[in-house]
Formats: sequence, C-alpha cells, structure tokens
Amino acid sequence: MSHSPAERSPYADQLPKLTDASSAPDEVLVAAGHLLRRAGAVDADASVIERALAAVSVTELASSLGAERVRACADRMRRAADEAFEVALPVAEEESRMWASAAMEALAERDALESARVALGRVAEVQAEAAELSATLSESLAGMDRDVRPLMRYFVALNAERRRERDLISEAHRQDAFWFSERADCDGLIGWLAGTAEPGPHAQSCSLCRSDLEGSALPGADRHVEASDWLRYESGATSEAQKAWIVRHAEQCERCGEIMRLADELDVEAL
Amino acid sequence: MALEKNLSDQQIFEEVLAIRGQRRAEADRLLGELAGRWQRPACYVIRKIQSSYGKGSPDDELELFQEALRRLIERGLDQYRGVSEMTPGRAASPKTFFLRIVKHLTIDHYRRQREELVSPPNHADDAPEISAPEANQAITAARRAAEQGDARELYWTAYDRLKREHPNEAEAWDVYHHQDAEGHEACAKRLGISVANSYKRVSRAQAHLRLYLLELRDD
Repeated sequence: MSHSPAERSPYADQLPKLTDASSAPDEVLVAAGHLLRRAGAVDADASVIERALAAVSVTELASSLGAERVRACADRMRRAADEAFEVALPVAEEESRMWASAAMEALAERDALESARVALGRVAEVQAEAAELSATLSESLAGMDRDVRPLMRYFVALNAERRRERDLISEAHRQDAFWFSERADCDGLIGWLAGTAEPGPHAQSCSLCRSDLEGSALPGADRHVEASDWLRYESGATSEAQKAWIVRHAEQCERCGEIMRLADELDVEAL
Repeated sequence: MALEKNLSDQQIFEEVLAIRGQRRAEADRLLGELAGRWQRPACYVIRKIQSSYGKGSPDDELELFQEALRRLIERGLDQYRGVSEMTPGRAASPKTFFLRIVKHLTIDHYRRQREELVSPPNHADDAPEISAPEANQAITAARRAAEQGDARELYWTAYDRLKREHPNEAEAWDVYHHQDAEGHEACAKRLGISVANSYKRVSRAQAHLRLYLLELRDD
C-alpha cells in the first residue's frame, strides 16, 4: 500500500525511530507497537519492525516501562478527565483548545503504553527474558485500566479526534484501545447531563447514554426534608453540607420546621 | 424455645449484622424475632403521630411497620453499623434506631395524607399485637425491596465531593437548588457574579454531580 504525502498517516513518523541509533529502547518498542497496531494505515516493512524488536535490550526496558510510568499515566488520565470536561463545558471558551490538546496527550500516552505492551509481547516470543517484563506490564496496565476506564464518559467532547485515532488502528486492536473507542459516538453526553442541551436521537438509540441519563437523575429542587434525611440527622450520620441544608430548610419551611419540632417532642429512646 | 428468645436486642442485632451477607434465611429469622419485639412500641409511635396530625387509621399501622422494616434492611443496617463505628459507645440502641425510622417514616406519610383519626393509645402496651406470621410477612416484603440504593444518600455524597473539588460550582448549586434562589438573576446577585456565570456554574455543577453519581453507582 502506498500513500501520497497528503494521505500519509501521522504515525508514519514512527518509522525512522526503528532505525535511529539514538532512539531509546522504549522509544523503539513504542514505535514498533504503533506500527504493528496500525498496519492498515501505515505502509511499514514488517521485516524492519522485526529487526528493530530483535535488537531491543530487555534489561534497559525495565526502568522505562516499570510501575512508575504506569502510575504516572494513571494520574495523567485522571487529570485528563477534568481537562476533557473543560472542553465540554468550558469556563472560558478560548481555553477549550488548550484543554483538548492536554487531554489528548494523556490518551496518547496510554496508547503508547499499549503499543509498548503489544511490541513487548512480540519480543517475548523470541527472547525469554522479556516474558516476565511483558507479563508485569500487562498486569500493571490492566490494574490501571480498571480505575480509569469508567472515566471515559468525561472524554466525549474529544470524540471527533478520538474517532480519527480509533479508525487508524487495525480492527484486531481497535476495541482494546478503549481510550479512543469507548463512548466515541456519545458526543452530546456531557451537555445532556448538564442540562445545556436536550438529548438527541443518539440518546434514544444508545443503551449506554440512556442508562447514564436515567441512572444519574438528581433529587428535585422543590423537595422537602424527607424521612431518610431526618433519620440520618438524628443518628449523627449527615455530612456538614446536608446538616446545614436540613437546619436552614427547617427554619424557612413551616412544614419541615413543624416536623422537626414534632420529632424532637417524641422521645423514642424512652420506649 | 428458639435460642434467640434468651438473647438481648443488641445481641440479636449484632448477629444479624454479622451473618446477613452469608446466611440470609437465618438473618431474616432473627429480624423476625426483633420485629415481633418492636412492633408494639412501633405502633405506639405511629398512633402518637397520627394523633399529632389529626389523621390516620389502624390499617396504616402494618403498612407503615412493613415499610419501616424495609428501610431498616435496605439501608438501616449499614447506616447503623456506620454510625456505631463513627461514634463508638454513643450510638443509639438498635430498637431506638428502628423506632426513629418508624417515627420519621410516619411523619413523612402523614404529611401527604388526610385520614380520620382514631383514639390514640395511652400507653405502648395498649397497641394491638401483630402475629409472628405477620411479622415474618413484613420481613419478606421488606427483603423484596432491599436491592435499591438510597438516592438521597448518594446525592449528598456526590455533593460533598463537588464541594471539595469544584467549590465555585458547589456554591452556585447550593444557592440555586438548596437555598431555592428564584432564578439565575437572584443566584447571580447573591454570589456577586454575572447571570451568564451563574448559568455556567450551575450547569457545570449539575454535570459534575451526575457524573459523580454514575461513578458511585458503578462502584
């Protein structure tokens, strides 16, 4: 397959890293993995990839692909969720592009680790000493993903770019790349949750969006203090915010104030 | 005679808390024993509240008693354990805790209904007895609804997080929804911000709260 310069995938710039003597071992691994996972989008000679992987020093990889890097990626992903939220509902419109760029960088780092994992798996097939590192990396990534995968809702404002990245990945690897693929069609979710937009046709047809909209319904604004609130209040189980709301509401609302007085009068401890 | 007849309320309740995850049938049986012991004072509480509201009928008693048991099983057991751990040695007895559930549930009920009052009892012992099968029936009915979460508790947990992580949005939400400001103009005035910013902050707060609720439910 050949591409004109205009059609060349952004990942074509990974090719030189395979043969550049100054590339660090983890850079070679990530570049190889990016190309292996995007075989349909980038015209890369498979033998070049294999030679580069055969030359990788496994002992040098342990420090650059260890637990610290995975932890840093996890922290980065959590911050990126907040950044992506700012794209959907910005305080200042002019900051949206900055937040989008920052959040996509975090997703790119997660993707880099996935490429490293895939490439390391290939190395482990021919270098026995890579097997342990490969297993450890896979386990670390799985642990991180359990924590960060539920945050993918926050990233829907980046879906146009996420879909572009998703579609560059070969079908065999695409669904694993949840940082690009999960909720990638649920563009309006944050706006619907915020009440700044009415749920569109997608919200009706998508079971995940329907579930999120139904499962996040908030108590009505015109509510009074309910039995469950009073019980927690009397048991000392309320947060400061809830206690303040109960007391303030009971002072302002004749009905709830009467209930507070009635509740105080009926001493059930004596029964 | 079953062994639990010789045990105190506290002992039976602690056994229920200990075994309910693994031996549900046994826990239900023990709760049935407690329900049998507590039904008279519970009915006394219900009738006193009926009297205060000038509403109510004897038919309400079993219904409210069953509902109170449902609440006890649904959230009350965890709540009681949580409060006991938070304030060791100062938590109310299990019976008092249950009677508080009855009290507030009944008060809530009669805020919404209008019924003819019947003569309230002079003493807790005058309240009619509910049979053991009826008490067990109450437990069974309560167990059916035990899977549902307490939406309001989750809401306040989400709001506490909003206060920590996004205080400006939490403040706007508090004014707009908890203090019932009449629209964004009133909210903006109270906060010293523009109407556009009030709208923005309340919208952001709503989105955050709903996302937090979803994460809590995912857990």
